[in-house]
Amino acid sequence: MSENIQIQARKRSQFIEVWRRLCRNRLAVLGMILLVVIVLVAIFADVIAPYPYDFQDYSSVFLGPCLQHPFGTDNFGRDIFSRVVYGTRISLRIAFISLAGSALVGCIVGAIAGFFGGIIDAIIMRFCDIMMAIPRMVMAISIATTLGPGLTNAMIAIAISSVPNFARVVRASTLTVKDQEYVEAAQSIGCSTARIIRKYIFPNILAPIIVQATLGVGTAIILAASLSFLGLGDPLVPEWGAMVSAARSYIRDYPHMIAFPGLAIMLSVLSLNLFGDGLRDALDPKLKK
Amino acid sequence: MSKFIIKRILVMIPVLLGVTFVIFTMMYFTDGNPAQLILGDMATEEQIHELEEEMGLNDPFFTRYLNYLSDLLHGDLGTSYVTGQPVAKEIMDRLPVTVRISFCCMIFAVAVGIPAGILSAVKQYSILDNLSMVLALVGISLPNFWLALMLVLVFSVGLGLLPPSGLYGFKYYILPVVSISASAVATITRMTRSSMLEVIRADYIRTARAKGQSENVVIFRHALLNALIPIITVVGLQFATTLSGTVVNEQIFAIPGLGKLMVDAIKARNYPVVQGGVFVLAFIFSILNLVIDLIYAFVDPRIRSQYVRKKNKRQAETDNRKEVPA
Amino acid sequence: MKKTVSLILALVLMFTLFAGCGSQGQSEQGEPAGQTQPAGESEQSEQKGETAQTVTKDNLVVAVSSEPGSLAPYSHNNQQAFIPATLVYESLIVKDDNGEYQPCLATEWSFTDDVTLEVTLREGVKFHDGTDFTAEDVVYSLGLMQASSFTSNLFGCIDTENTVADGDYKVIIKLQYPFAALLEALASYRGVMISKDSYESLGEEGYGHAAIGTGPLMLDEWVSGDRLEFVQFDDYWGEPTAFHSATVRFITEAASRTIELETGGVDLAFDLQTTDWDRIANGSDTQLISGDSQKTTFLMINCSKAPYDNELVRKALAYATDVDSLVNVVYQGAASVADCWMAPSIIGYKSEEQIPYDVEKAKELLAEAGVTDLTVKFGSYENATNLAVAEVLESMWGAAGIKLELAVTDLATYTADNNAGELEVSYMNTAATIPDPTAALLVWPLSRTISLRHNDQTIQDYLDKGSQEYDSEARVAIYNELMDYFNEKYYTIPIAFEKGAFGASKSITNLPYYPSNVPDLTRIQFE
Repeated sequence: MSENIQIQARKRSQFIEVWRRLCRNRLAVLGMILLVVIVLVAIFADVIAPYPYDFQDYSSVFLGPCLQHPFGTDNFGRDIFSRVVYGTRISLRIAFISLAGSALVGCIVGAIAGFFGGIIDAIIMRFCDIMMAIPRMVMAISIATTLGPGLTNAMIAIAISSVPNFARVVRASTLTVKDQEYVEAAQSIGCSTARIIRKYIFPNILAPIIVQATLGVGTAIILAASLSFLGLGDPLVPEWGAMVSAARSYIRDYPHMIAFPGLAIMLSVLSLNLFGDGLRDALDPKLKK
Repeated sequence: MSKFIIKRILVMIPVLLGVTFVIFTMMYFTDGNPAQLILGDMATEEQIHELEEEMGLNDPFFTRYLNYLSDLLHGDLGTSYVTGQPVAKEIMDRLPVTVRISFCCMIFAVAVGIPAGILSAVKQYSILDNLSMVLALVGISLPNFWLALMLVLVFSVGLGLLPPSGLYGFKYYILPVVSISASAVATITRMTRSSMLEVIRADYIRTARAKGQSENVVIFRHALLNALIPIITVVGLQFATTLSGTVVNEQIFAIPGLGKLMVDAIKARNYPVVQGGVFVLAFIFSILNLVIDLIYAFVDPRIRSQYVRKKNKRQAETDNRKEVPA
Repeated sequence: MKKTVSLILALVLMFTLFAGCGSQGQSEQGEPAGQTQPAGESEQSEQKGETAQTVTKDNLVVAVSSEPGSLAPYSHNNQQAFIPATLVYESLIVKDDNGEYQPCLATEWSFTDDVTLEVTLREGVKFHDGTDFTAEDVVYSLGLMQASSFTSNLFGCIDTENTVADGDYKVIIKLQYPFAALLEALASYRGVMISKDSYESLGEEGYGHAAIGTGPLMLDEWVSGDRLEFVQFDDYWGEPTAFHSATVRFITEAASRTIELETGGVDLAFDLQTTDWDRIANGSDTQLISGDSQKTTFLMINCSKAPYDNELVRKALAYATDVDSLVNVVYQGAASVADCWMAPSIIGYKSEEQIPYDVEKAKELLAEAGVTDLTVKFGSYENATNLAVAEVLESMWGAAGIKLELAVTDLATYTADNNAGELEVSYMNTAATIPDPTAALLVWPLSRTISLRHNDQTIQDYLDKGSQEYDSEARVAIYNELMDYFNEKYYTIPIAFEKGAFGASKSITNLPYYPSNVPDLTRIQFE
């Protein structure tokens, strides 16, 4: 009874410790703040954006940044600031959902491979090899083309092409943890495999998974932008990559149409990278007391 | 050592086979009729059906796959639906360009990234370190197609210094290489820095310094060599990312490379080219991974000694056996 | 602290750099102020074969937007591939700047009756492979043209069994039915002559990469993915071109094509984006050659799918579309509002009364038809113009209570769906390759499988009558009637007449605008 409380207390203090370490890292804090801002923008897009994202005003086409239109307008007279704001929703949605998908599948697959080893490990690793032998963009483009255009299919394409990375990381961590003594101890007292994975292996490989996931979201955003840049995606929604692609023809006369969506992509990924870096340092077991 | 290589090559074969199967399946289930695309809008139903029969598009899945495989094993990658030229020729025409650019990107990334990383690690917390870390962070956050467009905007349109397309001379390589390698440079810088930092804190470095070795020797001989191991892995991985990155940027810079060929082929449902191209790329990747692993094994004394130890062990075993009395 | 400051500094630096570039504000997008030289009015109407000017150039560099799959003339529809082809292939006759047919590979031609054309060929003409150009080659070429799915609308009329050679330099062309557009077709870039010997030995694909014709230049090298190289053909029967060789570069990025033109990297650039027209027209070293093309764009409605089979519904869509604004916004001056189904340069064009923009009337018509909550499924592939139209229509039709659902697929899937009759509404264009109604009305015959599906025999009758009427006045009358008929039935909603343009360096002369967008490059001269 008291054992459980002790374990829980230890867990909580670990969490607080990590949090404290994270907050001491100024860049990570900056990343967190940026991230929170971006998420808030996505949630409150309706309030923040001065215009609907598809409101066309033919009398104000191609305006540069000005008071009524902080980011200018595009070739249909749509306010770019509003479109970038709404684009936050789309990019975050694609990135998180596809990331969650690939993390889930990757974790399960990687854990199984790492834990059971042997033939199962070999087969799973060969599958990963096959998928990683095909360049990521080509893989994503092929999957997206096979499934057809649209946001959901783009999400699936990104998710599938990111699974091998996760699986590898999880497998490596599982292998390290598997050899630890407490796992051996658990096995010797007759713990079931599922229980071992859940209670002993999983919490200890959580750290690299979290780090990989955070950095993975950034990659997913860029991948999504690249896919919609190439035309696979939903052309009617204000996805940042699609906005950059549409603005290519106007690059010489109205560079603001390309600059702002691209900056949005960069800032989102930057915030995730800053946060992810800080998280990695904070979770670094070498610094654990 | 040679056993290692042979084993790895043997493993490559099922992987490559798997690659062909995956891509073939994906193309098979994609909408769109290549026969119709070839014949154009004005073709009649019979003409389309006739061409479909000729191209074998109506055969069942496994027949088509096995036919493809048997051709592949004879070195025939098929003929392009769009140009009628052998796929092998089309790929070989474009491959050197992409490989050349990727190599330039990697050389650039290593030439800039590793020194920057070393400097940052050595002069930790200085302005230089902070600046390079910031730039590196920005570098991995930039979408490379946007960077390409911005570079064209500034250097071609704005300043008129560099050409915006084509590959006819040294000048033409600059913008594509910089835009494609940006994230590789950034990643290598970061990796080098963190790897060096880890190594510098190690005990044997302190010992070397205590022995009175000059700082340069400490850095370059002891620290760098040991830090190289993870760096090499990262460099290898970055090559893969670079190859991926050329896919989009080849479009922007009108570079006649493999990436553009693949994207165009996927759009045109030009199955043979897609399948052939992916196969060639997967082959290159696998070889590359093998080379990286070999270098890794060579550089890392722990792994090297493992093999040496094994050889000695075997030797010892046979010696032992000889000694057992009859 | 230092790290954060550096980070913020770097970001601010980049931001100001890019924002600074962006403060160009509004720029007027009026009509392109380039030289408009319609084919009939050019002062420099020099024909093929006239003495070359004193100024010659070593190498002509041309930029096109895509790489040809093949240069075999009857195997594709790719406009960008026909442009370099004008350097190497020739037709029996050509149309000069005044609209008259002039001899080229044929010296005489005449209709002996409705279905027979007798042609006398030029002697002493050689192909690039060294063989002589004879009647056999003509008969063979015509046979291929008749059979190819790409040229069957123009040459399907040919009776290949009875088309024969009469000696080495005379051909009797027999038709299966009278075909008024025959001369126009033979004079176009689709009616060029190929070498029978080489075609038989190389096959279609081989020929596509050898491009053997009778023209003043011949294909020297094809660098895959990059460019085509052409050199002068020494045994050419006519006057040599003003340039000794030519390079055709494939530059897919439109902005790059313009930049190359401006910096002198290329002498001619095709398929320019309309936003660059002004800049090229006003450039110090560049000129814009533009005019009305033969391209009409229209909203295709699937007339056999409910509720669009109801004429009232189609009429309602027409009333709900503000065509003027649509054309303005999407084309920014690069197209004019279509007042007929066919472009003005095509025989039989007639200015029709346009449907006014009336949202209330549209709602009325829908109510009359008993249709409530209409959701239109708009099919498109990822073409910027199509998507732009969809976006504008979404908000326009929304005002009339019509919802637009955009279904975007890639080109391959779109083509398949289109030909299976599955599209409901789509934005399409038809670019007539020759300025004749037979080419302009390509989508209307009942045999076409695209999702138009009008199933109207009256239209087929008009088409048949018009294509066989040799008397030009009678012909015009037939097509005028057909245009009136289109206007009453609302099977489609014509939207725009696209303008066309290509950019050239200022030193190029004697190159007027070709409404087909495939100019004859061999006539280029320099000053």
